[in-house]
Amino acid sequence: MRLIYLLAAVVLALAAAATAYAAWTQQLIIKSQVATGKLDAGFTSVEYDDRCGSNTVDYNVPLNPVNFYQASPVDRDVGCTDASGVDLDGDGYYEEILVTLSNVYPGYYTSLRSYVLLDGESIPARQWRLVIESADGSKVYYRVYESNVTLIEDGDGLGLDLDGDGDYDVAVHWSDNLGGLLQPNGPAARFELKIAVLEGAPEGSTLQFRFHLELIQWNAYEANAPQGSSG
Amino acid sequence: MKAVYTLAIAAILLAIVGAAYAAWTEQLTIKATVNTGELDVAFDENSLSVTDNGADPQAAGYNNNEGFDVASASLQVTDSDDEGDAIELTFTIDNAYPGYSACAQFNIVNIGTIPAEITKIDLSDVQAAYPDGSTGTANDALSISYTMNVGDTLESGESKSYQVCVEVTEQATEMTSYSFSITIEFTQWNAQ
Repeated sequence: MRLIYLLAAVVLALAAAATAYAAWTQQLIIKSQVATGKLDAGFTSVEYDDRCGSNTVDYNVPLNPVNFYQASPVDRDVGCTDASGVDLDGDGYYEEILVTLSNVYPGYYTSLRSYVLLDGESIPARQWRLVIESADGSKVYYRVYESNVTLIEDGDGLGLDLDGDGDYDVAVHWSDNLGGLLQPNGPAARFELKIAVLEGAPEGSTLQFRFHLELIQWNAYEANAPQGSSG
Repeated sequence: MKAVYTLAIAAILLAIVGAAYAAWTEQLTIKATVNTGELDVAFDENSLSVTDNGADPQAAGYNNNEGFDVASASLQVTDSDDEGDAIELTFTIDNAYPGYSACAQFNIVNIGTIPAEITKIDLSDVQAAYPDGSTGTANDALSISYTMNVGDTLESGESKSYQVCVEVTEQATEMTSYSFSITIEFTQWNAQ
């Protein structure tokens, strides 16, 4: 008797299912294709003062405090500067700039200039922060955001302790263009870094560091622009 | 002699039966014609629009105060049924980036003769095609929302407005093509 009830239940269930599937139905479809763009920028060239081998006289700046705006020539060619761009992705633009100071001394001053350019197919971007690292990339000294950062006592710029002995070896000052807007096919932004060697620099050493600019998509800048810098 | 009687009786019986069949008869007929209705819904081709018509719209937390028109969005009919009714739309977004947000707006019209009810909405996974040629699922790259609801019923002749919105998240990668689909199933309103 149970078997009969069971069979009846199965038959009823199948009938109900058949009814459901037999209902009229129709489908409408919405497809979507989303293609993302890119953010691509780089330094176009690197120009710098007192190139090694150029036989040009040195420039010095006053220390204590450092004053980058009172650089004046001296009568000797003692120290020298090399700076080179590093093209990490092979696109023809430099993503990093490596700075090497040779035979320099406290008071030595140099500067370098470059231009930041957005790829023509990039989305707009803003210059977000300057990242200064050790030459081998193992240490980040500063990530500098748009702000008036003064970390050297009575000075103007950032101090870098390149050899890790607790003393600042060089001071750097960048042109005040962080936060600047870059547009594809728009004008390149000039970038300048001034460098002064401090009294904490080790004798008999070649000083090296590198830096790069980080850009951020323009529409996210306000939400990602913290004040100050972090070391 | 008995045989004669038997044959006579048989003849008489057959005559009686024949008389019965010959009686007057008449038939009454009921004919029925059943015309079924039609379940038929379609996108209204004249209702298609997108929310990006100039300066790029942005998701919450992003801004485009500069009014840049970087990305673009479009909505087109990409398939029709045998009667020429639009049954598939494609919402295309190009050169997008995190924070970009756009919506496709459209009407669905019931061009059938019986009410139609949305009984199922299927949102597919987001498929990604990366610049290196690899592919994969990337549901976190896009934030997708829509205004269609299961249970919405369109009466015959009725049109309702809906939209599908896409926001590109920070998990989206550069130079990548993402795709997904939404399938809306309509069923006769009285079916369970």
